[in-house]
Amino acid sequence: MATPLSEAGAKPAALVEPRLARLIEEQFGFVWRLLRRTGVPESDADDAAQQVFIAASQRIGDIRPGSERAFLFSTALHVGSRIRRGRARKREDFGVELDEQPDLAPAADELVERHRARELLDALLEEMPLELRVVFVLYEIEQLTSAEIAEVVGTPIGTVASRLRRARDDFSARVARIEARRKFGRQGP
Amino acid sequence: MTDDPIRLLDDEGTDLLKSLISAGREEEPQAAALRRTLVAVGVAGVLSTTSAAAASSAATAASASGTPAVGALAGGSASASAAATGTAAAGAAKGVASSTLIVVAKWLAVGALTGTVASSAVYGVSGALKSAPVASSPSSVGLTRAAPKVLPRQPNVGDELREIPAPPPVEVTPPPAAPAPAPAALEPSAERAASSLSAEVTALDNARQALGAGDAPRTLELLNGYETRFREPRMLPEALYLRLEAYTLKGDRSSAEAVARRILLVYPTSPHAARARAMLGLDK
Repeated sequence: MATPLSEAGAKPAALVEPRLARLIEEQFGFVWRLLRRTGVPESDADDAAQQVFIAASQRIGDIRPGSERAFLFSTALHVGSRIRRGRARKREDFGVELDEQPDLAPAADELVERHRARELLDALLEEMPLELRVVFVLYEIEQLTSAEIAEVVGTPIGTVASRLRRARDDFSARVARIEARRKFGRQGP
Repeated sequence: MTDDPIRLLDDEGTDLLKSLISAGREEEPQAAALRRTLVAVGVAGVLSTTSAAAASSAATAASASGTPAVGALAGGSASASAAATGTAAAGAAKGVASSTLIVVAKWLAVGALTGTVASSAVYGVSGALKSAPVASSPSSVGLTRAAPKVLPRQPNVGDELREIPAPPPVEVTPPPAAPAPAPAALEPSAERAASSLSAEVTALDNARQALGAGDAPRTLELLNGYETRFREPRMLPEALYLRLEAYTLKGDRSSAEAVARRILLVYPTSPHAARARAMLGLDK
C-alpha cells in the first residue's frame, strides 16, 4: 500500500487529493486500455494500472498541470514493458507459449466473439513495432488526433503521421490476409 | 500540422477490421479495479460528490423534463451570458474580433443540448464569472480549490467556473508600442483566425441542426467533414460533444463511450466533461 500523498511535493494533501482522485477517475480507463493494447494481459492489467497511478501519486507534485497524460502515458509504457519482460522470462522458464494464435473460427456467442476479436486484435498489434502500435492505439482505439498524440507521446506531429500511416497499412494488410485465409478455409474441402 | 485520416472504424473497412477496432474500444476495466486504485492511492471518497454528478443530474433532469428546447433556451442563455462575459475579457486581452466571439457565444447558447444545459445552468446559477478568471491557468484546476477536510466535497459550482476552458487560441500579433495602430484594426493573421473560427461555428451549427433533426448519420458526416477541414480546430470540444450525442442517438453506445473517454482524456475541464462522465457512469 502506498502512502503517496505525504510525499507529494510541497502541496498540502487537501489540495492534491482532489486533483489526484479526478486524474485516476478520469484516466483509469485510458491507462488500463493502453496497457492492454500494448501487451499486458487482462489478468495483470488491473495491478499494472494501479502501479501507474501509484507512481503518479508519488510524483503528483512534480507533474505540471496539463502534462498529466504524457506522464501517465510514459509511465504506462514503462510498467507495461516490465510486465512483458516478465512474461517473456516465464515463457523461457516453462517452455510454454503464452500467446497462442487465437482461433479464427467464427463464434456463435457474441461475448465469445468479442473476446476473440480482442485476442486477435492484440495478436495483430503485438506483431507491430511498439512505436507504431502506440500511435495506432491512440488514434484508432482512443480516438485522439495526431496533434494530441504528438503532445502525449512527445514526438513531432510529422513523425506521428508517418507512424500512423505505416501502422494502418500494416494492420489493414494483416487483417486482409486473415480474411483471405478464412475465405480460403471456407472454400476448401 | 497534418490532416488526420478518417478512422478505420468510420471508413469503408471490412467487417472484421471494424469488429477488431470496435472490440478494442469497448474493452473497459471493471469498476472494482478503479475503486481499488483509489483506495491504494489513498484518495477513495475524495470525489464522492463531484460537480460532475451534480451537473449530470441536472442534465438528466433537463432531459427527462421533456422540454429540451425550453431547457436549452434557458441554459443556453445563461451559457451565452457567461460565455460572452468570459470571452469578452479574453477578447479584449487578445484583440480578437468581438463579432466572432459573439458568434461563438451564440453557438454555445443555441447549441445547448442536454449535457450543455447542465453545464450552462451551473455557470448561470453562479453568475460569478467576474470573480472567476477564465481558466487563467491549467493549474487552477483542482489545485486552487480549497478542498474541505471533511468529505464529501462542497457543491462545486465554483470548480466548474474555474474549469471553464480558455477561449479558443487565436493568434494575434501584439501591437507595437509606437506608433499606435488604428484602433480595433486586426493583423491579417488575426482576421484569418477570426474568419476561420466563424467558419468553424457555421460548420458545427450545421451539424447541430442535423442532430436536432434526428439525423445521426448526417451529423456524423458533417462532423467528419469538420475534423477534416479544420486542421487546428478550436471548437473540438463542442464537435466531440455533438459526436457523442450523435452516436447516442444512433444507438452506437460503444462509439459514444469512446468519444466520452476522449473528452475526459483531452478536455477534462470542458463544460462537456460532465456529460462524458455521465455517459461512462462515472457520476454514480
